[in-house]
Amino acid sequence: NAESSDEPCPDSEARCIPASEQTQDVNNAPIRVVADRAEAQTNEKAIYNGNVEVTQGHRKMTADTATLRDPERIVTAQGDVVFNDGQMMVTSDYLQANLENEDTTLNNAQYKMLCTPGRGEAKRVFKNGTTFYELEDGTYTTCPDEDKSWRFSASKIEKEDSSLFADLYHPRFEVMNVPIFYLPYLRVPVEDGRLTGFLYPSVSWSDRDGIEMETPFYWNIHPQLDATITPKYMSERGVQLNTNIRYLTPLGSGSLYSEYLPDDQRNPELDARWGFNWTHSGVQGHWRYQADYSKVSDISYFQDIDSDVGKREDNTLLQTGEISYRGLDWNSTVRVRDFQPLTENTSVYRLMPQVDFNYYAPQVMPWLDVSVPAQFSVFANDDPDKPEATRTHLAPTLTMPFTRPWFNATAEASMLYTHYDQRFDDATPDAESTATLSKSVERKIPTVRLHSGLVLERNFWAMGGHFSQTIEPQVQYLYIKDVEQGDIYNPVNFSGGGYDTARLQTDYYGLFRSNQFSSIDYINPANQLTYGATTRFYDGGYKERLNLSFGQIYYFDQPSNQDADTFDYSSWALEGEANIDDYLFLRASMQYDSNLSEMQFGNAIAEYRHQQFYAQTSYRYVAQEYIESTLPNRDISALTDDGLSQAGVVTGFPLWGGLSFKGQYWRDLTQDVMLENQFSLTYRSDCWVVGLSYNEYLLSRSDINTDPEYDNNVTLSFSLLGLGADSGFNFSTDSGNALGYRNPFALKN
Amino acid sequence: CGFALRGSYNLPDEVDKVSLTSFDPYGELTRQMRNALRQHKVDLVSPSKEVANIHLLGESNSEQTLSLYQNSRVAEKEFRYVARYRVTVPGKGSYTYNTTLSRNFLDNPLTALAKSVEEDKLVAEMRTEATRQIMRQLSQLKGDIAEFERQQAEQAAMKDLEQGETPTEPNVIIETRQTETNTAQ
Amino acid sequence: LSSDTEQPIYIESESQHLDMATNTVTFTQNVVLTQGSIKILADKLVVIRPQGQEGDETIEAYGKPATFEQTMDDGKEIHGEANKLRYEVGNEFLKMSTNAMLEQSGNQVEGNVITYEIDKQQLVAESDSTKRVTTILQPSTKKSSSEDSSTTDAQ
Repeated sequence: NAESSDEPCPDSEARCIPASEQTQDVNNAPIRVVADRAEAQTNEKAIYNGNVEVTQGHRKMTADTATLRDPERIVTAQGDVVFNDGQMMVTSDYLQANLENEDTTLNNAQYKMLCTPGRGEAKRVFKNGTTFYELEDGTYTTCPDEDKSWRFSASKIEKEDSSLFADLYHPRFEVMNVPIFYLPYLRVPVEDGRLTGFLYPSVSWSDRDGIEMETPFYWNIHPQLDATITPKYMSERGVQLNTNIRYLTPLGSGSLYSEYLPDDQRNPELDARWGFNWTHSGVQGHWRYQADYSKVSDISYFQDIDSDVGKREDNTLLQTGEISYRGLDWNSTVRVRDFQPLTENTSVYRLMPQVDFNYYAPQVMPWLDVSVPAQFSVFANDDPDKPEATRTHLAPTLTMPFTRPWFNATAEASMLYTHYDQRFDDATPDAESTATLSKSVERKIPTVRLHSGLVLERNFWAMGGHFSQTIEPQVQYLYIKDVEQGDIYNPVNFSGGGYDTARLQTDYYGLFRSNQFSSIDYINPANQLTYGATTRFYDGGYKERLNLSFGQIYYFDQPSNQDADTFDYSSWALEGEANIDDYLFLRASMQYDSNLSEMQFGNAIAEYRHQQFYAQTSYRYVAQEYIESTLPNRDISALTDDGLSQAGVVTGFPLWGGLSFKGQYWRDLTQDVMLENQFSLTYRSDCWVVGLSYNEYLLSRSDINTDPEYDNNVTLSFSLLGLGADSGFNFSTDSGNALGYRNPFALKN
Repeated sequence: CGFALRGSYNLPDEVDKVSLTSFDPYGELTRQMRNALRQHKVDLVSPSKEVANIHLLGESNSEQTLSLYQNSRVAEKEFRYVARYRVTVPGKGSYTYNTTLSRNFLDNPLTALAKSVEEDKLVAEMRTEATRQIMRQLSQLKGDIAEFERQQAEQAAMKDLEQGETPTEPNVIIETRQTETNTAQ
Repeated sequence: LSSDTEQPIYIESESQHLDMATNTVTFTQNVVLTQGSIKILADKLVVIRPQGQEGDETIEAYGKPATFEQTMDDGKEIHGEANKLRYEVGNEFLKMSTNAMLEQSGNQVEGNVITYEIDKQQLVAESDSTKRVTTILQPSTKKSSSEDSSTTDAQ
C-alpha cells in the first residue's frame, strides 16, 4: 500500500471502476480500517493513525491519521489524504466524510477523473454520495499531468453524476496558465455522450465570406431534447444564426435545423436568407414514421452560402413524409412528396398523396409465392402544360422459386393493371409521335420472367493458401406485351413526360431488371434474353476476395422505344471488385456498346490503405452520346460539350508527431480544367487539436467555354480534445467542395 | 479444370437452425431476410439459448456526388446502402458484420419526382441484393468461428501455464463475523 | 455487566496447581472461568491474587486463542481473542496480546496488542511489524431496514 512520501505519488491502482463493476449498495458495505494504531471509545470516538487505510466496497481512502466520531458517524482524515471511488481520485490534506449521507468534503485538493479524461485542483471539493460533485475555486483540463496547454479555472464547477456536462461559473479559459477569455457561465461536455463533433470556436477566412467565426453553444434542455445554437459572424456577409434542435420521442427521433441570415451584405437586394431542414425517423412496433423536409429562401441560396441544409450542387430539395403500418407479410404506407426546385422555371410533379399496399403470401403452395403490390397515386403540379392525374396500379404476381446449392430457377408471371384519370389542358406530344392524351385510360400488360442460374465451384491452392472459386452463369427470358401507351403522359411519347417515370441508367444490375424505367407511366415492351455470369474468389477463411460479372441482352423483338437504328444486342455491362489482403481495394464498372463499338461509360476506383496511410485514386468516363440518350430532348451543351472524363486523388497520412496531412484533387480531363481541391494540416496533441485547411472549387458558369472561376477558403479550426466524444477537427465537405472520399467497397468489411 | 456443381451453400452447420431478430421486426429488410434464409434451406425457429441468432442491427442509406459536369452541376450520384447484423453462436461468441452495396446513376434536374422514385427503387433493389450478400457472408462465419476456437484453445493453454504461481494475497483477514445480518435470511 | 466484579469467580479445569508462596493458582487443559457475565476459555490460566486480596486478582489466560466474553449493561456482547489474555478484575482492565481480536455488535478490531478498559469502554490497539491494526465497522443499524428486522430476530 501507499508509502507516505512527502509528495503524494498517485496511487498505482488508480484505475477506473466502471459503474457495472462497483459494489452494489456501497453505502451499506462494511467499512474496513487498517492502521498502525487504533484508539476507540465505543459509541463515541475512534482515532486511527499510522498509514491509515479505509475501504468501503470499491471506495478507498488513505491518510496519515483518521478519526471516526461514532454517533454522528463522521470521519475526518488528515495528512496525505488520497480518496478514490473508482470514478474520481482526489489527493488533499484534509477530508471530512459523513458515513450516513455520504457527504464528503476535501480541502486544497488535486483531483483526477479516472473513467474520462479530466483533472485539476480545487480549494474545496464537495461530493454528496454518488450524485453530485462541486469544486470551489477549481480548475479543469483534459491535458495529461504537467501539460499546461489549456485549462478552465472557475469560481465554481458543478457536475451532476448522471449528466454528461459540467457547469462552470465565471470560468476563465487559460493557456499556459495565462487567462485568454472570460465567460459568466459555460457548460462543458465531460463524458462521451450524444454530443459528437462539438467544435469549439473555429475561425476561417474565405474571399467570399471574409473572416468567419463560429462559436457553438450547447443547451441540454432535457435528456430527450437538446439544442445547439451557433452564431456565425462573417465579415463580408453579416451574422448568421444556425440552430439545431434534436429530440427523442417514443415516435422516433429527429432534428430541426435552421440557418438565418437577416441581411446579406453581399446581396443587399435580397431580404433575409434562410434555410430549414426537419428530419424524423422512428419505428414503433407495426408503425414506422419517416420525414425529410427542407426549404430555403431563394434558389441561389446554396451558391452563395455554405449550408448544412443542402449542397451547392443540389438541383431540388426533397420535402417528403410518410407513415406506414406493417404486418409480418404485408405493409401499407401513406406518403406525400413535394420538392423545392433550385433551377429557374422548372415545375415538378408532387405526390399528393400516394398510398401503397403490398401483400405477400410466401409459400401459398410449397412451390408458389404470391404477391400483390398495389398503389394509388395523385400527381399534381403547377405547370398548365403538364397534366395532373390519379393513377391506380395493381400487379398480382405468381412466383415459383426453386433453389438448390448448385442451381436456382424462378418463374414469375404477373399482370400489370393500371388505370389513369388524367386532367390536362393541351399537353404537346413530341413532333413525330402521334400520341394524344385521353381522360381515362386502362392498361393491362401481362409479363413473364424466367430466370435460372447455375453455381459451379472448385477449390485450388495458390500463393500458399487455399482458395475456392465459383462461376455463376445466369440467363433470363423476359416477355412484356407491347401495348399502346400513347394515351398516357409518358416520357417516351411526350418530351419531359412521365409523372414519376424516367429512364433508368442501365448497368450490370439493370440488365436483369424487368422495367427500364423508374416507375410505370411507361412499361417498355420486352421479348429478350439476358445472359451473364459472375465469378467469385474466396480465401481460406471463406471471405470473398474478388468478383467479376458481365452480361448482355439479346432482343428477339427490337424494343420500339429505341431511337432510329435498331440493335439486336444491348451493350455489354461489366462490374468487378477486389479486396487484396485487406490493404488494396479495387472496383470498376463499364458498359460497352458492341453495336457502335464504343464505351458508353466506365469508371474505376482503387484504394490503398496501410495503418494510418490511405490513398484513393478514381477515374470516371461517360460518353457524350450516352448522356444525350438519358436526357432526351434536352440541350446538354450547357452541361458538357464532350461527355465526362474526370480523375481524382484523395489521400491522408500522418507526418510526424501529432501532425497529419489530408489532401484531395479533382480534374476534368475533357476540358483539362481543375474542378476542386482541398488540403489540410492537422496537429493533434493529447488534449487539443488545431487544423489549417485550404480548399478551392469551381464556380457554376452558364457558358462552359468561358474561363473557369473558383472560390477558395482558408479555415483555421481549434478544438479541445477529450471534451465529449473526440471532438477533433474532422473534414467537412460543407466547405463548398462537392467531391470527397468515397467508400463503395462491398468486400472491405 | 476441376469445376463441379456446388455441393452446399457453405453455411457453417452452427447456422442450419437459426432465430432471426431485428431492430424493425416488421420492416422490409427483416421480411426479405426471412425469405433468403428460407430459400437457403435454413430452419427458422424462435429465439432460444441453444440456437444461433442473427440479429439485424440496422440499415442506412446515403448519397454522395461522384462527378460534376463542366458547369459544376452534379453529373453522377452514388447511392450507398449498408445493412449491419450480428450473428451469435451459443458458446462460440458473437460476430458483427456489415454489408455494403452501392449504385450510381446520372442525375437529371427535370424529373425530381422520378429521380426520388428511382432512388427508392434502387434502395429496394440493394436491400434484396444485401440479403443475398449476407447469405454469402455467412460462409465467412466458418473461418471466424475457427479463429475464435483457436484463440480459446490458446488462452486455455496459457492458463494452464500460469497455474503454477498462486496469486499473491497480502494476508487473509476474516472480514466479519456476520453473526447478525445473515441469520435473518 | 458492571456488577460482574462483585460476583464470585468459578474456574473449572482438568487439573490445577496451587503455589501458596506466590499466591498463584495455575489451571490447565480446557479451563473455563466464569464471573457473572464474564467467561474466559483457555488452555492454561493463571490467577494471581496479590497479598491474597479478594476482588483485585489478575488473570492471565493462554490459548490458541484464549477467548473472553462479557455482556455489557446495554445488552451488547463483547468477544475477545488472543494468544495471551491479561484481565485485571479490580480495575476492569483487559490486555490481549499477539493475534488479538475484539468484536462488539459486528464491529471488530484486530491487532498485535489490544488494551480495553471495560468500564470506560476505551480500547487501544497497537500493531507491530507483522500485524497491523484492522477495524471492521458495520454500517449503522438504523439506516438499513433489513438490519432492523434481523436484530429483532436475534433477541
